[in-house]
Amino acid sequence: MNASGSFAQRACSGVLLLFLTALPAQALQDVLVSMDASQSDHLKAYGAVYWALQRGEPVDWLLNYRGGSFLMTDFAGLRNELALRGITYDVISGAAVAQLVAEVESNRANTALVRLETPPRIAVYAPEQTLPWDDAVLLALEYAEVPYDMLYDDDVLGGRLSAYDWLHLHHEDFTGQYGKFYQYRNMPWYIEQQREAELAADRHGHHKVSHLKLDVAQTIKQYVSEGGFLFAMCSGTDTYDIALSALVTDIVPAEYDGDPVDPDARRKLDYSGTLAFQDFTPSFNAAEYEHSDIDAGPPPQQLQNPVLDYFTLFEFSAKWDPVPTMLTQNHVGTVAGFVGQTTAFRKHLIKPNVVILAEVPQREEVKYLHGSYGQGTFTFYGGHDPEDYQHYVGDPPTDLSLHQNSPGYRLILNNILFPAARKKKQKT
Amino acid sequence: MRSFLTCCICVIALTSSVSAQPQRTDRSRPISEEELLEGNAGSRYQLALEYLRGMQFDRAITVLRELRREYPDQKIFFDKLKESYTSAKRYPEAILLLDEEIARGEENQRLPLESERAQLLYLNGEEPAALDAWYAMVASGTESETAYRIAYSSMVGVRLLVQAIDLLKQGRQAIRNPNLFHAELAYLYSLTGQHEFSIQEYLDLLTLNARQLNYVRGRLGRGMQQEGALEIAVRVTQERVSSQPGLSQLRDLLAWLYEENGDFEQAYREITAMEQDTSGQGIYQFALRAAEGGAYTVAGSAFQAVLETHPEEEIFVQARLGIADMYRLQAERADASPEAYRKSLETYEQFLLDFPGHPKAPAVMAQIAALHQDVFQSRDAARMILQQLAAQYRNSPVGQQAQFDLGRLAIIEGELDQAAAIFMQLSMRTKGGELFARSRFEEASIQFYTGEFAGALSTLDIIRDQTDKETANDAIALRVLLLESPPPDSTNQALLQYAQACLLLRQQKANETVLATQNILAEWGNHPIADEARFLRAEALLMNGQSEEALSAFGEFRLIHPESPLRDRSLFHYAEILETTQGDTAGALQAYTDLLTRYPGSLLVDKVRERIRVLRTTSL
Repeated sequence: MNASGSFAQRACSGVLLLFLTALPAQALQDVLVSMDASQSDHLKAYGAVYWALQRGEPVDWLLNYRGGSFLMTDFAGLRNELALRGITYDVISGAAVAQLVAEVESNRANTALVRLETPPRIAVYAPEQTLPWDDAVLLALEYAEVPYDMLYDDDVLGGRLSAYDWLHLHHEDFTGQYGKFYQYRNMPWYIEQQREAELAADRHGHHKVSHLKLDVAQTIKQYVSEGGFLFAMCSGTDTYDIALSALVTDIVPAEYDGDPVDPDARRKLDYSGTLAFQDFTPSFNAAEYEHSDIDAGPPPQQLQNPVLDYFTLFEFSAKWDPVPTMLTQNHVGTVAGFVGQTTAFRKHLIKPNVVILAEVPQREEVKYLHGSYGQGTFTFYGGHDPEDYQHYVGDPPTDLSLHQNSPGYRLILNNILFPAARKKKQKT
Repeated sequence: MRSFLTCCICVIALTSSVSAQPQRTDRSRPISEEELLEGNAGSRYQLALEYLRGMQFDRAITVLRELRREYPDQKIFFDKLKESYTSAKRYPEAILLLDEEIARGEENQRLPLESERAQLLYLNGEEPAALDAWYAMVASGTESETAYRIAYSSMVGVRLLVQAIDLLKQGRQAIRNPNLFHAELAYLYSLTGQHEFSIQEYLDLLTLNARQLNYVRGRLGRGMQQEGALEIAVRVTQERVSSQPGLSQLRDLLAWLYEENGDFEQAYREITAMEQDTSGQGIYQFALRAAEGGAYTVAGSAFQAVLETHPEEEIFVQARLGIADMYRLQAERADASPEAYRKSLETYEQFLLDFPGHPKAPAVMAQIAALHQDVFQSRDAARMILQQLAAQYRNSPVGQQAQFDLGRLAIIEGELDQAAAIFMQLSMRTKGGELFARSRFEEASIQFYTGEFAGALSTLDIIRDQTDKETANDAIALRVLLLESPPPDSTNQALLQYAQACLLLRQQKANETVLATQNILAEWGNHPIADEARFLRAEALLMNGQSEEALSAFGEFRLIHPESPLRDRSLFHYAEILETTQGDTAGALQAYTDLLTRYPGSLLVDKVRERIRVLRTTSL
């Protein structure tokens, strides 16, 4: 307070402040964070749920109910936090909650309630080095205010993965071809990336970077088999499987590792070790910005427009297939397309046991898929940045505060919550 | 096809050192047509190429082996056979082929072939043998520079960077010439992240040859983007300059490195320690960069140096103007520093006195007028200059801007008819542009101030679609105010009084605005304009420095006008005063949080969240 102000003025301000800050008394009631079109910030809502879980407050995920809404007890501080994060919510009475839960659990509607209990420990596989492109998952986690740790090759091979429930891979190249950015080979970031990779290979006793990356891919696969949740986007999807398939051969052109591709590489590929894809053919052309024919590539020229290019989400039975249902929760059925080094997956190259979550209509292309391996699961999402139709090297990162209701980003964030779901006994 | 291209690229890379050799033997002579036809060699060669394209290396090898046996002097068969072996990863056979070729004893091909052989040994997994082969090759090559360069190139091809460094260092000793391989070693050190050694090599190169400065800068440019590289480069170059102070090329590089690092003061020290550039352009350009980089003191010194050394030249005039621009830039960036504004004004005025006929004089006059009008409130001085500009440059952008500013000045001084006439003329002459929209908006504002509300709405309609213009938001706000303030009587007195109060605030008559708004509230307390008037009063109190009263006024606003569209803005101002003027962090935090809770749809929520996060951090 300014010392020159009169007592009356100060008293007036104090009373006013008390008046302004008075909030309605909290009774036994719940808070519903609806996730349909009425939600002001869908992305922040995921962060708020994670925040509640961190405080030991369970959250009910109402699958297929108003876009996959969240129901929480109205604990102290929740409403302020929701307001601070700009999330729309409704306070509902105990009786209304009972009615709502009964409605969601009834067999008449394709809805279900899944209880979220423990916040998953999240790791992002990315180098310390700053690379000239953005990572959609990092952007989503940062924007939603979800905590995470960064891991890279040394950490993975050093056994640190077991400390995490969820691992994310983005614009990564597990084939050891540095993203096939050969045209950028004289750029400082490329030189640094190559140097760091070669040093890491050397540290772990590998003669080539491709061998190091294969080692990392196999360690991650082991992590999944033991119950880890793997989420990959863009080239983190197909290069992962390509690397696993090239266990006994060399698919890396001389421009990247100094010696040519194994002339018998195609025959020696082993698809039995991959997670999602089979019968694909790697690209052996060093100058081609493509790793294999798994990627369907950008849409035809006339459709290369964020308005015309889209993909559709599958609808699953919420009660019988809760996992794919959780992964596809959204307030829209069709989502704007976006391209990347790996844009979408050719349907005929996907293994039969993999669940297709979203596809590009009339093009035999899959945008989003999910599968199980051992005790864990993997989810692959094609494209680079859901709100930047075509992200180029050197482009600034997307400002998610301008895309608070992004359906494409929601699909990413569905993934971080689904490991928090309490295991239910199968109804079958 | 792709694989074949890959193979070709690979082989080209592997054999680049060979193909770079200027001398050729007869083997490199293209096979003649007669020779090709004889024995059907041409067809068989084409067949081998087809096999290679189809990645059928084994078949290609069979054909090429035969051709090689039949035409041992034809280099093309040797090259293609070697390429096929390499592509098929049949390294031992490729090595035997090279041995065979080396044994043929053609001296001018020996070094590249031996280097290639070493590379194949490495690819075959025999790293020690490969290194031995490279070292043996340079030793047998009478330890020439060329031998080392061939070996270096071959080693870099398989990313043996550290080993290549060792080889070149050994080469210097063997040839007894420490001045060799600076560029190669600098590049290798940079690739391996050894920035200190890299810059040392570049400095050695520069010491030997001052003309390599641009080359070194070019090579360093990208490398400096690597983490920590620039700081190391600065330190090492500083040391070198200290030990060799007479070499201006080293100082020149150091000055450039300082600038890259944002240290203009040190950069200027180095520039002045060098020999003066005769044109003064070097220092003048440096001064401009320093001013833009916010290093005003050093920029001023550099401009001054130009003035002292080139008093009779055009660059002298440019430097004078540069100084004035620098002061203005400094004032704008330093959050309205009065001292810098004053210096800027004086320098511009002196420029005009000294160079009245200079082509930049009109722009300088405009700057002076803007400073008088917007910063120093010297309206008479501003008017005099603006009138001169408007008369002399009537149809040029600078003249039209002067007319616009004269209109603004007239509003401030209460000459509304004169202002209206100016804006009307201006809008007729500048149809469609930014100045047109601004003039029209000012016309509408004057109509509003004088109570011609219907006229104001009609004028606003003209620029309604120009949403890309600067005035678009203000135009919408005025339009909404006029549409949402229906007159309770035919005289529309409440809105008229409010409009007059707005004019008073624009004329910076804060006290009078407070009184006028209090009159409105006393007389028209229930009129729809009452909330606008109360808000204006609070703003006037704040402008008048009465922060306690402004705090109360903004605080009570929401209680008195709970439905007003201004209630979130008033609460925001309330919180802002608590935070900035009162220093009441906890109160401000609570008020911001209250705004979020009560008005989640407010346009201010982003700003509010930002403030809450800052205050939360501050509280910690």
